[in-house]
Amino acid sequence: MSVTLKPVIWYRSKLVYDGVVLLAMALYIIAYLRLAPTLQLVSRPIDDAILRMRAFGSCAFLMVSFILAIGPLSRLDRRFLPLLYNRRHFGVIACSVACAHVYYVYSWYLNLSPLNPLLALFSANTSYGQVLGFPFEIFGVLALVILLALAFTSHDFWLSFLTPRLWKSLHMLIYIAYGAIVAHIALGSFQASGDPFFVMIVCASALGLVGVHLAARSVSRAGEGTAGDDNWVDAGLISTIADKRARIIDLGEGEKVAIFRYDGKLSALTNLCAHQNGPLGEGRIIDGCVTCPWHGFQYRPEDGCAPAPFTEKVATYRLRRDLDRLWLDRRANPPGTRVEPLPISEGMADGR
Amino acid sequence: MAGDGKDVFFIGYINAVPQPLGRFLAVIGLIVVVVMAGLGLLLSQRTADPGWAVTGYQHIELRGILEARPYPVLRVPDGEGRKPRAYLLAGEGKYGVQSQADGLYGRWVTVAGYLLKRGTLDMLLVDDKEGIVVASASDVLHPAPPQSLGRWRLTGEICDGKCYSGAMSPGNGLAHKACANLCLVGGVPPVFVSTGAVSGSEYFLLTDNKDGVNARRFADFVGQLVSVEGEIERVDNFYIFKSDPETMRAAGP
Amino acid sequence: MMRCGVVVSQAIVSFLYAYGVAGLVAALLFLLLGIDRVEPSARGAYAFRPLIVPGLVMLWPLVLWRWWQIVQGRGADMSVRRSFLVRHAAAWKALAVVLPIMLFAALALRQSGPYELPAVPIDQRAMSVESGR
Repeated sequence: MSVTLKPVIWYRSKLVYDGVVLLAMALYIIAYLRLAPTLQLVSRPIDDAILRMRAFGSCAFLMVSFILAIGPLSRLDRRFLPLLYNRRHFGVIACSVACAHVYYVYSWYLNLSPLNPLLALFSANTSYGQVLGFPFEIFGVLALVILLALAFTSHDFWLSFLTPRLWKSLHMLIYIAYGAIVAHIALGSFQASGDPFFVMIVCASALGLVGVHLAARSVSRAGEGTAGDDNWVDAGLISTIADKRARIIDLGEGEKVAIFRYDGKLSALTNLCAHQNGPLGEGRIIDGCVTCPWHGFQYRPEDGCAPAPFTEKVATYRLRRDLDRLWLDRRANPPGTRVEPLPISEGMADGR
Repeated sequence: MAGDGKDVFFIGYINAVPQPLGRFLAVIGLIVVVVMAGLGLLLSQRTADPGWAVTGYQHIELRGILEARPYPVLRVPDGEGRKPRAYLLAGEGKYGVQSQADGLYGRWVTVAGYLLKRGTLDMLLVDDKEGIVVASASDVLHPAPPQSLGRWRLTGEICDGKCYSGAMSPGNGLAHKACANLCLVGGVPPVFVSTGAVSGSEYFLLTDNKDGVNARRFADFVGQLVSVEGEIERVDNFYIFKSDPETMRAAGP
Repeated sequence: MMRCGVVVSQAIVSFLYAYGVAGLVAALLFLLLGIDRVEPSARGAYAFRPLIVPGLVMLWPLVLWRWWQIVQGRGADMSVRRSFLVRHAAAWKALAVVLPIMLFAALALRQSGPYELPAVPIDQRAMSVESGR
């Protein structure tokens, strides 16, 4: 990014996206707090604060589970990709819901005691030596700290200031946060409420999430070419690459290369977008630029540089051909290095 | 491939969403909204019943003798068609009333506050402003001494007397453990909620067999199902369980 | 056990306060002196600055380190490493193992009460109370 930073850049699609997320959240909370109690026969009503901590807590869990499912879902079916576009706002909303959960726990369970509530949080329950009765709140604290750090650093300023590498490392903590959330629920709510329906929903969400991630992994493997041992690796037949699209070659150890075909030429770039590691090879050529399917970041195929005024650069790779067979040099060029595109002669271009 | 919408390319900063994709996203959005509303309703509706209790809306004033058993207990003698009753005392917030009761044990006092009531448990939340006031002695006979019901092994949950008696709904379970521990540290009397009744009661003031008021020793066991042995005493309508902490075990499923 | 807990918690809470105060100072310094120098895109842009304050306070050691690095002119390695994909896969493999174990253990250990376990009389007097019922 090298345009002037703004608080939030709004597009109509973002407004619609946030609107749907907020509507789903609001309906969940209203149904939980207002509608359900009127349909229930209990000896006495549940405390407002307790009902709210349950409502916001369960809502935050469901939201985080859904957010983590967007990635693999869009890999399994490309039509989910637009959900990925504004995932950041979704995450910030989920973090706010988690904060509401904490607020009610803090003001109801931890307040009004001889100890300051923050002190009470760490000292009220010190049964670290046992599983039942373990201070499950500590897992909640860990998850909240991570969610806050991610929400606080969600502005583009942080991506540029911390560098994409550091930023991405920081945001990988979401997996630890998710584990902590599940532990928090398993040792807290599971032991306390015992409602089998809630237990079922939590288990289905967590295990389903693991399932789609593993499924997406196997799918992305199946659709890609794999490399040999030499520096020059076989990248398949030129004629089988569709125009304005790419083939992804897996060089192993997570390194992937996208070979694009456009205007009768071929160019190879890393498959990782410099923005948030989106899969460039699943994007396409738009206005002469490789366009990332996640957030629409663009790069010139011949040198991996974003068009002005943007400054992102990605690594390029060299190509050579042997009749219709394409060979890729596995040694990456530094980001932004120009590589002359490989022309496709007419006879070879149209595969039959 | 192009016909099923799977091949449409979406770029967020270009506002137009190509049509087959737009319809797909609208359907997904609708499903998410409906599922969330439904889940909110179902999960909330399945909330367990917290059980009946009188929850502290009634302001009353009682006159009786203050006793240390070892937590402050107000013994209200019979009269006006009532049987003698014993009330556990606690303060506002997560506090006991030990400091207010100090020096007044064995004397006639008037206590104003809010009544919590659950089963055989009666608890008075002493009003901070009015407090415990020394009253003139009455000619009524002195309260009966405690009656021993022998040694028992009970299975149940350790709760704080205030939240469980009705101050919170629900005021028990492991999710409530930190709150219960804070109450106990603040001096609120712990109660043992047994799964089996002794002489008709499932609720007991929990002390240890040395009559100590150090509720912290129970802290690791609060909120879960435990079994423990001890002697049971009856004082008017309510029961004291003088437990032996050495015998306390987590109860297996 | 709880007394020891209070001492440790007191230390944690004091540390958190100190960390927060230091964070506020660092955030102020960074916004006044650092941001225009280290981030060209921030020049002339003010509206977004309040948004980054919570992050500056929370991550101030990281902020100071990056600030120092940029002032020293050490070229940041902007390239995204392939290892992320490997770590991403590893994270999910780990979660695929940890989550089911955690959920299963929690359900296995659950005391799914209330049971109706009767009170057991132990001595003579208790037994006579029991039979008198």
